[in-house]
Amino acid sequence: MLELRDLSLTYAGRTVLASLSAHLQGGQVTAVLGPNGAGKSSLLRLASGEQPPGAQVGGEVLFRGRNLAGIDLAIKARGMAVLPQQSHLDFAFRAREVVMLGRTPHRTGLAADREVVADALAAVDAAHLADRPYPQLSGGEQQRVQLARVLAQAWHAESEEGALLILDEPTSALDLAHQQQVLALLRRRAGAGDAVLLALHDLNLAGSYADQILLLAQGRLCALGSPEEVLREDLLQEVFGLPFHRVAHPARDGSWLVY
Amino acid sequence: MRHLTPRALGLALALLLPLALFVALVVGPQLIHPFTEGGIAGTDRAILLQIRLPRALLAALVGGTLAVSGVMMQGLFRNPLADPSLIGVSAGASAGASLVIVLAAGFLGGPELLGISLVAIGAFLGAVLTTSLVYRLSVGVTGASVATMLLAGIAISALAGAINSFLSYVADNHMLRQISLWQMGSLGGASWGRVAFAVVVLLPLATLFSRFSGSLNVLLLGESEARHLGVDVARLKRQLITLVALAVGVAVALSGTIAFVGLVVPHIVRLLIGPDHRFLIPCATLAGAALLVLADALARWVLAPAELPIGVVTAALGAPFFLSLLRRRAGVSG
Repeated sequence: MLELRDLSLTYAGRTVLASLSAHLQGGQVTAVLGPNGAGKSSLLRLASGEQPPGAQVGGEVLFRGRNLAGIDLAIKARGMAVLPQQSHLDFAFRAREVVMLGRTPHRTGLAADREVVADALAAVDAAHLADRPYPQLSGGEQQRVQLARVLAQAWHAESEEGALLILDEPTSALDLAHQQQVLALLRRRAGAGDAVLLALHDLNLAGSYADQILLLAQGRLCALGSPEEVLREDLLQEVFGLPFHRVAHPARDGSWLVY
Repeated sequence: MRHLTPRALGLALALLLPLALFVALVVGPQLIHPFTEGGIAGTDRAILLQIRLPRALLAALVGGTLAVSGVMMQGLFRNPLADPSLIGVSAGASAGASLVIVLAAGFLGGPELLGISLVAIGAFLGAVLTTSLVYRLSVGVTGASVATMLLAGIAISALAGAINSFLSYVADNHMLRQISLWQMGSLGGASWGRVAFAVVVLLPLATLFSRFSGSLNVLLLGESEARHLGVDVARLKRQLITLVALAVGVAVALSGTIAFVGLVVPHIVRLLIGPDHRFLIPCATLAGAALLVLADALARWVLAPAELPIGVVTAALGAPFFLSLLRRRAGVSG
């Protein structure tokens, strides 16, 4: 669904991303990992078609086989939904109205849209927040409402191909239970045919839910592959500068990273 | 936080506006009783048809335009405290008007086309020129930056203010009085010609504005969020700035600078019904129209037979109301 070809990004001579290539398919969750400043957000921005001001961009992004830069914004918005790391909204929309804005690119009618909004809010455990003014919500609640907005945009996408969800640290403000809930939800979206690209900090969360992990360090692609291939003790120690131990999970199958 | 449904407020305002127009017809240096036996005739009839009716209608058109332009600017800047003067419209209009008053002193009160004086034309050109200058300064490689636009607006407004001060300095007493009266705003020049001009220019603009409600709602989420939801943000900014400059330029040319309406009416309406532009745009337009009609009626009546500048009345009426709303809101949320 999304192909990154030899992407690079430099700001006034400083390299932020260097010759990065990757392929995302419908049905897959791809997690981008790496320390602060590794280029995770820059990668997600380029993948979503944003042109950072004052930067030099090399390579190209293909969305459904076409160059992303040439796709009409309104058409793109029907197939790709993006959650930035931070969104600032001072105006006192109710939570349900914020989520409804996610339906703007679609022409599915008010009744269908209301249903999608209710479903999306329920999916992120925010149905009880629907009538609350957005600025009065807590940070984690706001993040879930914004996530519901992005889900609503990708819900019942008009194409058969499934949608692309690009999420920059969608769990950064969430408690542990909601982190698991959101990742499980994204897993289900992928199961329905969507492609998910997200930046994360929690390696175990990525290891438990992602099909493909993209490990970045200083703008370079260190490793790309399945969680087993990428989450290696030596590689992680090199990238994060911490000793990692991979141990068997005491309660269920699979391994767990401790540090 | 919200006190009314948009439908209730819309209905109330749709009733208030005709009522305000009615009051404006009755009230003035000479009270005209609307239900006189045998109908209104003679001087009263002339006052009604030639003076008060065009004046009230012009007030409604100008007030609605200023308020809806305020809505557009607050949405565009994603800031509930923005108003059209931020992009240099008011300062530019003042400078343009002063320039004409000083340079063309000999012709004043002379030629008028459709009731539009030379001063009005100067004000309109000043408004449009300053705004286009502000916009050009803020356009970079990635389109217009709202933050740069704000700063450019402040700088260019200061420059226009300097020109204005210089012109006031070189003006003689008569010109000076004209300049300062113009800056306080007045609907005293209302005529059927001006009303016709306002109807032809401002009504189409007002209907155009309502087409932006969906895009503006999305823009409140943020510029890149709006792009990801399919809105061409650069084009939206260009179109809105152009339309607001034209609309406010015309309004200011017809009535002088009337402060406060463009800032506070949208803000008050938003406090009452929330930020959804689909309802905010029509409600603020009606509220701005009703407010200015009432304010003008008050301006004609309080010191009758003399007239208060309308800017004084709008500020005196609206500011306390606005403050009480702010205080009540602070009490609720904090």
